[in-house]
Parts: sequence; C-alpha cells; structure tokens
Amino acid sequence: MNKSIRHVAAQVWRGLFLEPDAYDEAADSPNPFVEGLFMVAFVGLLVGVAAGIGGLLDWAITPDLGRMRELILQGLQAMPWFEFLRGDAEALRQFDFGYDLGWRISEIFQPSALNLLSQLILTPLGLILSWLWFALIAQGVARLLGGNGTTRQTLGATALAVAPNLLNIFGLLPMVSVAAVGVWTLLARYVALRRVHENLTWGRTLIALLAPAILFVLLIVLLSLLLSSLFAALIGGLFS
Amino acid sequence: MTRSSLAEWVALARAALTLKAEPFHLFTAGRASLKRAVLLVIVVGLLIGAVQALAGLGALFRPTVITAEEITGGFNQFFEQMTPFLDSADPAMREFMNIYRGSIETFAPTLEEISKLPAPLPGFFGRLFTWLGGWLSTPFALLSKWLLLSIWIMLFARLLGGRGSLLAYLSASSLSTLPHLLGAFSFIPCVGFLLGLTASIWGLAMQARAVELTHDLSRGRAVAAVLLPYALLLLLLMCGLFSFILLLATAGS
Repeated sequence: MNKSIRHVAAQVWRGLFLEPDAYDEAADSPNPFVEGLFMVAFVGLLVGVAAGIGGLLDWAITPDLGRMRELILQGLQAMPWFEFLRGDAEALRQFDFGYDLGWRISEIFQPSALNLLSQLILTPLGLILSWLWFALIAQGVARLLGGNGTTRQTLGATALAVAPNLLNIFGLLPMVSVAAVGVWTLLARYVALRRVHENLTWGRTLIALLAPAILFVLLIVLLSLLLSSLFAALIGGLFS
Repeated sequence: MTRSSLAEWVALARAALTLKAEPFHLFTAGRASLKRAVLLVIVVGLLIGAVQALAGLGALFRPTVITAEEITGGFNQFFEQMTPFLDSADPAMREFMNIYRGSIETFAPTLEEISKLPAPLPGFFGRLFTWLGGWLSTPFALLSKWLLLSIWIMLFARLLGGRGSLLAYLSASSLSTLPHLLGAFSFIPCVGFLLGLTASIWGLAMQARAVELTHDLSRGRAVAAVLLPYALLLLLLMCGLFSFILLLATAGS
C-alpha cells in the first residue's frame, strides 16, 4: 500500500506538469476506474486536510465574532439613520431578521469540528463527482465526434487531470489566494483527452473539453427555471 | 544554486529579454514537461512579491490599531470639499449628507474598538499571515495570468495556421513573464504605472517571439495571434457598452 501511495504521488506530480507519458500510463492502467478513484480521493483528501488546517489558523487569527456582532449592532443602533427605523416596528423587525440571518450564514463558514469533518468528506467527494461528470460527458461527445478512445481510458487519464488541485494545499496558509487551479485543470483535461482520442483534431478535442461545462450550466439554468416556476405555482396557490 | 549556474540563468534571461531565439529553443527542448516553465514563473512571482513584501516589512512589527480620528479624517476632508456644492443643493440632499456624515462619525469608534479586539493568537501572527499571504499569492496570480493569456494566444495561433504543440508553446511562453519583474516596483507613485505598462508590452513582444518559434509562423501572424485576444476583449467590451447605452436610451424614451 505504501508503495502504491508513493507511485500515485509520483504519477500525480508528473500529471501536474502535463507530462504526456503520465496520462498514457493512467489511460492504459489495468483498472483505470479504481485507480482513478483512488487518485482523485488521494488529492481530495490532501486538499481537504490542508483546508481544515487553514480554517483552524484562520480562526486563531480572527477576533471573537460574537463580540464583533454585538459591537457592530451597537454601532449601527447609535447611527442617526437608525432613529427612522425605531419609528417603524415592521422595519425594525425586518432589520433584526436580516442582521441575524447575515450572521447565521457567516457562522456556517466559521471553523468548527463539524466544518472540518465536512471539508474532509466534501472535498474528495466534490472532486470525484466533477471527475465522473467530466469524463463521461467528454467521452460521449468525443465519441460522437469520431474519437477512438474507450471510456476506461478516458476515466483513467482524466483522473490524473485533478492534479492541479494540489495547488489548493497552499490554502492551509490563511490569506494566500490560490489562483490558476481552474485554468491549469482545463489544460490538464485537454492533454488527457488529446492522449486518449489521438485521432481527433485539436478543434474537436476542444469541443469535447468544453461540452461538460456547457452542459452543466444549461442543466443549472433549466433546473432554476423549473424550480422558480414550481415556487411561483406554489405561492400562487397559497394566495388564490 | 552555484555561482556559475546563477550566471547561466542571468545570461539566459538576458538573451530571452532581447528576444534571441536560443532561450526559447532551450525551454522547448528535452522531455515534454511544464516543470521548468512553472518553476520560472514561480521564481519570477516570488521575486516580485519579495520586493513588495520587503517594502511592507515595517507593518509586520507595528500593531495595527485604527483610530476613530483616522477614519473620520478622510471623510471630513471630503465633506469640507463638498460644502460649497451642498450650500446650493436642495434641503433633502443637505439633510441626507448630514445624516451620512453623522453616521460615519458615530460608527468610527466602533471600528476602532473592533481593531482592538483580541484573537486567540497574538496580533503578530495575524500580521505575519497577512504579510506572507500577500507575498505567496503573487506567484499564483502570475501563473494564472500567464496560463490564461497563453491559452488564448495558443488558440489564435492555431487558427492562424500554427502547428506547434501546447507543451512546447507553454514552455517557451513562460519566458514572457520575465519582464514582469519590473512590476515589483509598481508601488512607486507615477513611475510604478509606467514600469507595469512597459513590462506588459515587453511580455507581449516575448509572447509573439514564442509563437513565431514554436508554431513556425511568420512574424506578422505571430504578432496577430498575440494581439487578437485583446482585440476580441475590446470588441466584447464595446458591444457590452453599446448594449448598455441602447438599453438606457430605450428605457428613457
């Protein structure tokens, strides 16, 4: 197991620098799905642990948010415009509700044991879902465009394309903003698809590369439209 | 790093900055990998960040407490400059500005108190992480800028008939981040902006050289491949602005 972790780490490292051989190796491995799953989970776990440590450090350098909440409320209540609010009970109630809601939302992002645990689980899970969505849609589109790679090969090679997410490990230092992960991942995925579907032109590979993201956006828009019409019907039903 | 290898790197950087072909060929030679290119961009980013971090070193050892006077000072200056205009403004506007000024003056002590609130770790650590964060974020920002621009240039180079590989082009184009070392001095008033502009133009010239050499394109086409992403961006901005103006005009009529 120790040897396999070392092997995966070395392969992910080569994948990070877009080395074509590494992608060929990942595509031609005997069990690309299981190995890919292990690779993605490995990167996700590392990033999750780093994010957890970063959250703890962030908490350690941030003043008590409860005290901050009190101080800001007192400061707002002392402002001249607040006098207008005092005269309107409904406006005052709305203000209290909004203020409370804002702080409750911010509490979700504050470091806690639950947040730490959820980061450890959700980061690898998010990466796995993103990998599967990309690999399966891109494979379908590539095949439609005439690509000759198999689903197994695409799963193996695109799993390695999660390597740029390793940059997020720097997120363990508070205040460091890690840019470039998205664009680097896009490049890694392009290399992965190009290696698997070697008969496709670069233009067709580009279409297969962008298709999963476009489909995802379309799906979100469609879902939002469906949900909003459902809500509208519900609210309409309540008031009719 | 030995003195001789440092001298080699300096010679290589000098040759690249004067648009000689050797450094670009050297970066594309050997095993297909982005390792050398990424290393170069990170080193350049760290150097840029280091200059700015050194300039801000004093703040690291100075506790940052914002006083209410500091906060209101700037606003009071603004309100004083506005006074001649407010005298001729309508009463509702004057009342609004009075409430606005009063709100800032009342809230300033709260901000002062917040800046004094203790954190679990001593204040030095907060300042240390802020300082370190500013420095270490620079290579990531440069990396992102380089990759994003290079993708667009690569796309246009291909559309213009280029046949170079992605890895070869990215390796060569990483050299275009070298002039951005000038951007390290962007904090200097007036001169900083000019240095930044020079770095950007110089970087684009090096990108054109990288396209020319790795895609085997003519100089004219290479320059077009570098400038077309900007032309597209400008066109999109103009379309957006035109649509906005059209929307305003339609709403107004």
